[in-house]
Amino acid sequence: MISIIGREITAYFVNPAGYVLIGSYGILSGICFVLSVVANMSSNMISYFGVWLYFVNVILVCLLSFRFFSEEKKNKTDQLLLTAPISLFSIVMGKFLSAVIIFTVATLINLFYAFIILLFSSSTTNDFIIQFICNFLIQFIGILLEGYAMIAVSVFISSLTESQIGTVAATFAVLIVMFVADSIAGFLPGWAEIALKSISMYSRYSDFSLGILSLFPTVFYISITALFIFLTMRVIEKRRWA
Amino acid sequence: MIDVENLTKHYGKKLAVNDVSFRIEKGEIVGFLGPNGAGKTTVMNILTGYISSDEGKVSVAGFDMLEDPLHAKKNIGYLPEIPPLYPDMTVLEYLSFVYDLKKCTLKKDEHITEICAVTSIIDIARRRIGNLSKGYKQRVGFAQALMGDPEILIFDEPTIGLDPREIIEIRNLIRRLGAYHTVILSSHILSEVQQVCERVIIINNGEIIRDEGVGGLLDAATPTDRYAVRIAGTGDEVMRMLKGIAGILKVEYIGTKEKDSYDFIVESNKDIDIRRVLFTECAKRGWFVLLLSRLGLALEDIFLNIIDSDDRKKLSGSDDEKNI
Repeated sequence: MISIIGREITAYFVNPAGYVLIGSYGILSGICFVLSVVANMSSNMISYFGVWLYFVNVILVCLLSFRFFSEEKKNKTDQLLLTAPISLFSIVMGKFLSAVIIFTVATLINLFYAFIILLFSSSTTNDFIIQFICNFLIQFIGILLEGYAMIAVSVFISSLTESQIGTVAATFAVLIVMFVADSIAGFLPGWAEIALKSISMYSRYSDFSLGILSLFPTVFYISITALFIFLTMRVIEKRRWA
Repeated sequence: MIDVENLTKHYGKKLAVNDVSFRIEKGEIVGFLGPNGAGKTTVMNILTGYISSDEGKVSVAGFDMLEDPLHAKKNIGYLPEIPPLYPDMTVLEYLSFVYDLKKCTLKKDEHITEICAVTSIIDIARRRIGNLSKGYKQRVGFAQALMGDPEILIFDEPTIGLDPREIIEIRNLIRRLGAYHTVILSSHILSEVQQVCERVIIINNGEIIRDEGVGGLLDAATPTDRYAVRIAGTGDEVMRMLKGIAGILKVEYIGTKEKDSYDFIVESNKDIDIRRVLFTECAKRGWFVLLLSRLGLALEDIFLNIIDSDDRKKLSGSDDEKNI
């Protein structure tokens, strides 16, 4: 697994892809930060972490998805991985964790935004600082969990197709549906409403954005991540039997 | 070393491999022959654990591919038809990655250097794989298959798309590797198998139709001796003289390629050497033998005969079924 993580991370940085990815995240999140926090002269990051960053994460995950299983299948390098003496779990986790590392590194820029707020905030009391840091850390944990779940979904999608563009497009579409699922669920009949609400990625984030570390959303994101990693393994395994 | 029992594989409704069984002993170099679409690559992919069979069992070095795939795969080095290379990596980075991936226990630097030397890629070791020629990419593919010094090497159409010089080099490399490994070479280039392998397994329509040594295959397919003969003499008389020699079964005139001479294909009884008699008879008449060369039936012809007869057999079988 470590060898795959190493290869993947190196691959991001031997060409401009990795730098463009992290740079794009920095620029997009910076714009969102300015529009949602700085422009309002607010020290509250709820709206930034809420709606705005969801879309930035979607774009980052879409860009990351270029390197998942579609590329391996297209270049036939999946033959090297699947005939090597390593387990399928190691292969899938290697791909997933390498994307997780890049995603985490890219999101570290949020620490810088928190630092800016602390630096320029009119309120400098200890209570405010502690409260702000606690809220920020929970929001940040929420963003990471949400992002990891998005990556797992994308890894699964990439295992279904050889087309990298197809993976990106499908990832984008699915993650947007998971964002609006809650809003459109009300218009649908019973079972569809329940189904859509159960996959709503965004609604589970509301507690995190308010600085509340709740068990249910945490379990939801971890479950989604585990479920889609498991499904990815099943898809690859099934193809070997097809 | 490799035990394959009753392998069957369907792709949807199409039967790709049908009840294939064979056994390959340690140190053998086996050619896996068949026309495109015969099921060679499917069998290779099942042997290496890339895909699974619907029925049957593959055992590699005593390890069952389904029950103990990690140990089974550890004993196999596989070069698929398209080498599994990452174009963004240098050769050394790639081999180092494969070393880690295969969890090799040999000394890393020494082992990689040794493999680079065997496959003659030391000069290009620091170059990016994406910038290499097809021949060098193929060599890097061989290098990854050799990583970890596996006992069994499986090469699927390794010379496809290479230029003649590269093909000769790759064949020499396979021959060298065959001295220390069990090798399975899948190919539809028959001369390649003839030059490199000791044993041939011929597969057609997903079934093994012949499994024997290259020598045996050639002997069995050539019941008579055939010669190309060029004689400087008088056409009709030469023909009569040839037909009169004891042991000659068939004489075929194929034209004149040199001034005042005649070319024939002569087929003779395998037990009688006609060459001395032919030379003496020509000398008696004052004719010159300008060419006398034994024609071997190439593996190519044998292969086509076997495949054609198998196809005809299947066709007549299906016709019989229709008639019934």
